[in-house]
Amino acid sequence: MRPDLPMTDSAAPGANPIPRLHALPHEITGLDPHGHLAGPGRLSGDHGPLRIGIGGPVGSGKTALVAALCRVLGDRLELGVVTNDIYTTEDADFLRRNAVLPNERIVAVQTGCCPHTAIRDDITANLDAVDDLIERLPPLDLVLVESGGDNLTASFSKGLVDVQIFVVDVAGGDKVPRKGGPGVTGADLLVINKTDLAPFVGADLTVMADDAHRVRGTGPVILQSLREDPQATEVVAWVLGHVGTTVRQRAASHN
Amino acid sequence: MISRSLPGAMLQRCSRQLLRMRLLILFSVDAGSIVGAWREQRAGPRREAGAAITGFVTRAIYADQVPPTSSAALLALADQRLPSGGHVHSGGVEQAITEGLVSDVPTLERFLERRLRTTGLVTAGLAAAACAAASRPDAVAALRQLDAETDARTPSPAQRGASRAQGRGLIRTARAAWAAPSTTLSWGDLGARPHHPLVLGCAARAGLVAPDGAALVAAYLAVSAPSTAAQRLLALDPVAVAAVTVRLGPAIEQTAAHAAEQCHLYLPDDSDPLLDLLAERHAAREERLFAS
Repeated sequence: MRPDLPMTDSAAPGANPIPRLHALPHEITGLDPHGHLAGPGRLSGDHGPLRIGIGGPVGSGKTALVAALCRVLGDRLELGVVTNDIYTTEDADFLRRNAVLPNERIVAVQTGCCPHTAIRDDITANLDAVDDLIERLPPLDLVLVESGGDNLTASFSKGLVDVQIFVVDVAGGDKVPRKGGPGVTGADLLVINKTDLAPFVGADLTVMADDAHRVRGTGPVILQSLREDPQATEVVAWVLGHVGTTVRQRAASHN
Repeated sequence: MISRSLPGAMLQRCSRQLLRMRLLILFSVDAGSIVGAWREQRAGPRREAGAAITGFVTRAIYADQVPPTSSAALLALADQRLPSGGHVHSGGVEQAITEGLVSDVPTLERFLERRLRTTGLVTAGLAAAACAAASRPDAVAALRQLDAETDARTPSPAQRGASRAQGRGLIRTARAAWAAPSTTLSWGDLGARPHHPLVLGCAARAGLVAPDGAALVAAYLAVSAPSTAAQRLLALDPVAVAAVTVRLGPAIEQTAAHAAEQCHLYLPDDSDPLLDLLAERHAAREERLFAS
């Protein structure tokens, strides 16, 4: 870009000196260029499911959290899960073994040795898995996409999920929230897991919570122990806060 | 549209002679589609015929503004970062490593060259044929025929699945990038899970890449995608792997040229039983990092 040249809006008629053969998809009335992007609010459209990404380092308790969400929400919402484990089926098998969800509601995708690529750079395999679930099990209310265990720089593409939860754990060291990284700072919800282990690993929960709030500003942080609260009460409340009024009412009437 | 896109200055810049020659060439190329369009206009829906004529006029107008093959679109299609799900497919390399056939850079190079000369040649031919067919008046029927031809040239069900999975991924990206492959074909005409080389050919056509360019991209991807997978799985030196891709360059170009030259006459059908077997064994595995 030459700084001495004015920037022009390529979509404005007559503004672009570069000849163009086709109208861009966004300029054609009535044509949605995204396919999977069907509505103004959500990726899956107003009537499609909410998509929540669940990421975090290896062993931080992502699968345990997904299992808890499935247990609590499985019979209240129409739920689907996509897992991205290193060896394909490990996490999916865990969920199936624990009978949290019927087989057909869990899809495992291969990530080609690159878990963060599959959720951020080339989300095709995950998009296909989500689309397959939506096609096979209408009407879905919620799709959880669980990433493979990765590092602190991993985050979900906005083209794949509507909101994302980043899960770290106390046993990983109380300096993790201070280190930050896109997951810790940018996720819509930060969950600090396994608080019951704090006394055993010498982690200071106050320091972790303070650091997390400092790097995240007003972003929510939940400290939890699934051993003490297997229902993941606070995370479930946060998820229900996002799934939409109609679905929330349906889930509430189930109780 | 014509009056806006055809500025007088542009016409004044080129001599009458040149313009006449250019239109003559364009007309000879497009004579078939114009006649077809005219016939359709008499017999069938006016809109389609109108679209074909508009396509002809558009090409004539832009003839001296756009090069015959758009290199930027070609580079975008060959770029492995173009999101189409290719990174989760190893093209048989993961199984070849498990079977001990690929273990280092020299064995990888032999594997890649073999893959290029067989699967690579076939996909290059299909991509070139799809690219050429995409702008024909009967593009929809031609692409359907090519879909069947692709199935017939891919004996392994696992490979057919992998090809359609990547086609589904690429068409999502292509749909966002280009309104349609051509005036006679829409993305929807290809179906939900088209074969990858066919989508590649149509995307090439949409980006004004000629059939030989489409073949080149297909042949290049037949080498570059599995080489990246091997690099990840064996933690090979990326510099050495890049050198392999460059060394195979002349073979890639030769394969692509051979495929594109004859794409109007016949489609290559060189199958490789080894790759078929590797794909089938891989699909039956419990633990794998790649989808194919």
